[in-house]
Amino acid sequence: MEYSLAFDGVVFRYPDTVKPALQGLSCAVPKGSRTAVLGHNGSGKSTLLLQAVGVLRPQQGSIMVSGRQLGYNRKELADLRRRAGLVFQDPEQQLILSTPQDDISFGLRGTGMEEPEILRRCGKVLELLNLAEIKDKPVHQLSLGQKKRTALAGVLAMEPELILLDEPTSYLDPQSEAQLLSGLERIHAAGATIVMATHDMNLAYRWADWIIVLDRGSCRAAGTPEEIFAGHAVLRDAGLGLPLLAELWYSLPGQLTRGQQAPRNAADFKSALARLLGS
Amino acid sequence: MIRRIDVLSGSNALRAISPMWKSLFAAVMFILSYALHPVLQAAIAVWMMVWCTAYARIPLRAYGLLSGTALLFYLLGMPALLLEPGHPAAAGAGIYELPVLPLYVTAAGLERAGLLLVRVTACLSCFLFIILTIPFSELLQVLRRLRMPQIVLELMLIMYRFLFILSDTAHGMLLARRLRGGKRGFRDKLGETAAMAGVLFAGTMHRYHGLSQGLMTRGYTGDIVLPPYQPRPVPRRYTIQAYAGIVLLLLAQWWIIRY
Repeated sequence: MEYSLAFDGVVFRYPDTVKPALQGLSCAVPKGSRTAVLGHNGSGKSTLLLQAVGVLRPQQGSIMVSGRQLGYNRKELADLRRRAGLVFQDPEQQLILSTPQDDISFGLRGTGMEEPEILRRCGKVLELLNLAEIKDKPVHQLSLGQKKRTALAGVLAMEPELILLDEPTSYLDPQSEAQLLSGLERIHAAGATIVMATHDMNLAYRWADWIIVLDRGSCRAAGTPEEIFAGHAVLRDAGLGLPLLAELWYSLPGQLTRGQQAPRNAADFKSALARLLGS
Repeated sequence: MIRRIDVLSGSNALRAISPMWKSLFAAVMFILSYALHPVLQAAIAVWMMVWCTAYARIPLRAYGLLSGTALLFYLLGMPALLLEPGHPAAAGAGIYELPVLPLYVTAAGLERAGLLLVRVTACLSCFLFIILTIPFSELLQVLRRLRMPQIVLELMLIMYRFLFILSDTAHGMLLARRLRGGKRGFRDKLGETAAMAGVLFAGTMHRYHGLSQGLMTRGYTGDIVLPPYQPRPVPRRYTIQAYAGIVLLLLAQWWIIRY
């Protein structure tokens, strides 16, 4: 299996803290996957993402992005920022310029790209994330959902092969969440690898095709959703619960569900239930 | 207030006109406000108000509130301009003693304050024209075109972003404290304000740290490259009016000096 991102024995401790945030973390994200990094608050999810884009540097171990070991000199970091983009949980952290259009072009202008290409890429992501109508509106007048999509657009404009998102759906209403996820779906269809750190189990269950479970700075389990959600104990030990659909499915009598794949969304669950009741 | 200014500058009727032209027009009017006769300064103040309220369709109330707030600073400086301490050496025309207090006002002081008021109002109206009709992002582009140092532009940009972030944070904190009952009495409120300022400072540092991380991840290399200036047309109607107004003001000044 080819990996977009791989951690090997990474140890990291923030200054003035006793316990390391990452304790010998080893895990990998398959290329082209939709990976959810699960873990409770303080499990190391955000630290993992900051390590992956070179903002934090591990004290031990190594990180590979698209098969290349992460280097920390100016040139290597500039190259990394073109290949991997991070969308922060709080969009205020990364919106710098005054309007969505200007902000999206921020990273591109830093690379010295020609103006027509900048405008082409901006137009493309504005369209993709339904931001065209608000492209000239001041950033502080946007809703949280619009700010999150603008932050994502700024990352997407760089056309990275690896996109990392820290709690992208937190504080979003269902409509904004759906808009964001549909944008992500299109980006994934275009070939990007997406890694999402979240503790929203329901979202991870229906969205991801690869799961990494973090607990106290190390990888507790990694695998497909079927593998992870069937092993309830791993999630329980990591301080996480089961998603509602999985809980319902696994609460059905074993002889009914044996040999069948757990449904990943409400529609699948409904048809699986109809099949079971029919038989 | 800052949000109101921001909304108005982004939605006024002169928004589509070249920001460079508007800036240069305001700059010329500003110089004239400083140099011309007080009667013409008053005319400039009225004319620039017409540009803002009639052409740009800025609500009169918002315009009045903004200029009134700015003029408060002038009012605060008034006592220093008007009042003389002690008692006048000799009572005469143009000297008015205040009852009870050992202070008096001279006609010269009144004239000085009046002249200053006209000049301040005229200069202020030029500034208001800039801040109410040009969105901040376009103003930065104009300044960049005028070769303002990059570091100044970056500082302005970051400060502008932080103004809104901080105002949101402060508003949230204030609301939270009010909902929890707040404090009663002047002393308690003073203590509460001081505590809030401390928390706000800590919050600012946290935001600063977050923004610097955000800049790093977005490929910041030491320079924030601003979008290039986009030239825009100016309707003939406005150019004719502006040039004609400037010529008229200069002719009027020449006439006043001459006669």
